[in-house]
Amino acid sequence: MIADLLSFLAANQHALLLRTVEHLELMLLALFAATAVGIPSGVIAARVPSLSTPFITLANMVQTIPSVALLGFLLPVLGIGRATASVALFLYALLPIMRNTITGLQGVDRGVTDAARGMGMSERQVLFGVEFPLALPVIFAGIRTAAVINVGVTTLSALIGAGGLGTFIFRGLATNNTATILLGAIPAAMLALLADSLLAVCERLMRHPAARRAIFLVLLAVGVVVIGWRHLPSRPETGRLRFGFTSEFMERADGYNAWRRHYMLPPLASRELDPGLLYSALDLGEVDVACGFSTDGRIEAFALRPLNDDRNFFPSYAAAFLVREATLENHPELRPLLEKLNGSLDEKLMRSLNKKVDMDKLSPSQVATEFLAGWAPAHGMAWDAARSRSKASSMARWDLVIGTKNFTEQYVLGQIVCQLVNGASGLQAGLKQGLGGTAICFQALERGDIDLYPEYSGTLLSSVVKPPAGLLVKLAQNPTEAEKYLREQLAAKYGLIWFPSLGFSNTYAILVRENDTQFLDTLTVSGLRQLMSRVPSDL
Amino acid sequence: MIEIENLRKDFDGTPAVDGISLEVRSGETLVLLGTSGCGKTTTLRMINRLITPTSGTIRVEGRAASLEDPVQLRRKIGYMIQGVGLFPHRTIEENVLTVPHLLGWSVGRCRSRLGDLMHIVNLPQELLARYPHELSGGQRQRAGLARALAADPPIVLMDEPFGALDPITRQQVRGEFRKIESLISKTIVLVTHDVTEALELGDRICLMSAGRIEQIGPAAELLFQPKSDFVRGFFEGGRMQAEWMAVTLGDLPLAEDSATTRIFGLPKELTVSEALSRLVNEQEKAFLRILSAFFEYKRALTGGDGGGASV
Repeated sequence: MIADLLSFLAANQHALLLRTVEHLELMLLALFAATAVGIPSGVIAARVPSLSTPFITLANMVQTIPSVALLGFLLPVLGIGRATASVALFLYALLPIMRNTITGLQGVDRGVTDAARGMGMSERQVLFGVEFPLALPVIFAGIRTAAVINVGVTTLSALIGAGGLGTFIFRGLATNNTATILLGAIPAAMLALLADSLLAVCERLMRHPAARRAIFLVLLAVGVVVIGWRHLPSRPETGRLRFGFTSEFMERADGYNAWRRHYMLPPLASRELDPGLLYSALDLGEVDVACGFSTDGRIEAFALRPLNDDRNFFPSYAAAFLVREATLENHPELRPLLEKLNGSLDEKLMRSLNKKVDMDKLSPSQVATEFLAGWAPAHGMAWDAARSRSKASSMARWDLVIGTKNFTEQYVLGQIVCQLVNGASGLQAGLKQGLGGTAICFQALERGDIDLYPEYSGTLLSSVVKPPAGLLVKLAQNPTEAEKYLREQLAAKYGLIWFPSLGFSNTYAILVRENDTQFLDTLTVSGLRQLMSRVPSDL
Repeated sequence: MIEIENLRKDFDGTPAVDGISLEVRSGETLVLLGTSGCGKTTTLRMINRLITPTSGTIRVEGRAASLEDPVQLRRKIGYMIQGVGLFPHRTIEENVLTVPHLLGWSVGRCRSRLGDLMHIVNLPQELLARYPHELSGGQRQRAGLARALAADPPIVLMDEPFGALDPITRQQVRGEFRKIESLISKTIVLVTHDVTEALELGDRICLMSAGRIEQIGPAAELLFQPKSDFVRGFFEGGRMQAEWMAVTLGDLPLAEDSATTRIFGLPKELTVSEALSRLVNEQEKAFLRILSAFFEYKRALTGGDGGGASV
């Protein structure tokens, strides 16, 4: 295991260095800015007690916004990339620094400041000569907390194309690859510890007045270098087209690299983005080309257009339920119920269900109820909406736990099967929704934390079963063969049942904006290559 | 000297100091005495403008304090507070030299003054490099005094300077304090709630209650010619000890010749209380002689029967 990890590390050292620098840069910039704003505002708040409550409340409010949500709020204003990530990180670092500055200053013994004033120190001398030095350990504790929080939150900025060590973590999670996760997680943890202990050393040195000035200068120099770094020419890019891909696409064996080679494309100026943010990034013109999923409702809603996969690169991603064998044995009524759904959802139907959630702002549960209300009678099913509703709000123990990944289609499919089971059988089903990625879903299923979840054949092949490369190519060409192979492997190795397809395939699609004039003549992915060779290089 | 006229301070409309007038004479030690909340600390803090008066005037050495820059004013007035308020992040040397540094004294001048100060307050030089938390309570008190005296200010304000010490150390430090020569010439305003401390250190006592002055004068005056029941009642608890402390041997009708410096072999400056405690073991005759002279003295002042009940 360790040896594997080390050789993996060696193979990725260049990328690791790049990501670590990106990570440090984001984190330090935010930390500097938060210190520069947090300490003065803390001083003001400590001096003017009527301001301290609003300041702290405001900063507390920011702190309670989940990091991914905060990134989401800032995205429409600042776009994808480092600007949004920096602002979010700054806001998170602000609270601990400001709060500790206030607490630290308020904690200085009143007798000491009284004596200082009484002996004729000016307000400035009291602040810098007495209050600051005495509050320093508390203020520094705030900066240290902020630094550690920032290392953690910075990993999330990988979701909005700002890079950093999180890139490895999300790629690894998306493709069930522990080594990749660790490649991001271990350096991130080390950075957190390092930042904490470096700041602790700084704090100790700051107690000596002579060292204070030196440290200030060093910090200033680091700050200048960090900010200067941002203005250095960025990594070489080819062409003017900006590409956006998900972490999963970047990492998987049949993803970015293979796709680029298959179509003989040059290295691309690409950014990694959260799957949920990719479509709006494309819509807002933050990127020109993005990978997406063929059944996503936003393709229609944002007037996006998939380029034809003219050289048949993407394998089939037939959607179906992956269920624990033990669950089916315990609840024999489940299998016929699930089998009823086979072939019930074609791509067009699935896309329209997704659109209802993404664009028409219906909840996945409403969409599922609507679907079942039409579907059940047509399939001769006795499905009772009211019964399903009452079970959804009951506190009874779940007989069946249904998992879903964290994107719209999964939420809808999860609701459909959950309401179907609750409304048409005696079983009590419940949902564990929004699990982050294949690795987490599959492991939860293996451990029995969930009993079933919707999955895609292509994902299982590339991320879970992992046949030898030769076989993978063969299976990619032959969906029927692939389904048979998957079913055998999953049953034998994991005790899982791979159900027949629900009727649609949610495969990767390379998307562009329909009204984007640079793609007027480009209908296929091969066309992209011709387009790129025409575009003059920035280098 | 300090002149205070019609001084008043309201906090949220309630008067803390309610129109007082007094004068602190050059070189005397005036004690502001009273229970908590009587306005004595507020009065003190208005002298160096840590608190701004609601109305009234304060003149320090003839100049209105309100017209001076508060920071400059404070650098000319020594200040010492309860718990001393030494800066915990600075060494004793840095603490003591706070005001000289603020005044921009040269290194040489600071160094020589530092030597004098340590001698004055009786602190060993090797403590200079220590931090306040490494000193005992009594040592901290003396360092605080050195800090207040550092720039040799003519006026020193002290707010319960011995308040944080245990009773034994307190008495000992107070004893040393009285012997410090450079304090004798200074104008000192000292705030305390401790009657013994007031009697021991004050040339005059200003007894305050509810923001007003009840009586101001030498200790013997307050004890033997009280102007109100409040003043009489205030000393009632430890009257015997208080009276003996307020009178010195020199005050008593003992020596015909006023030039005599020693009575029964004791210096004239000794209080009756101190004299009696030295004589109590061996010299019964002298003890009784002093006691009866004390009653004679007291009778003369009060014009009554001498309050024999207190003995």
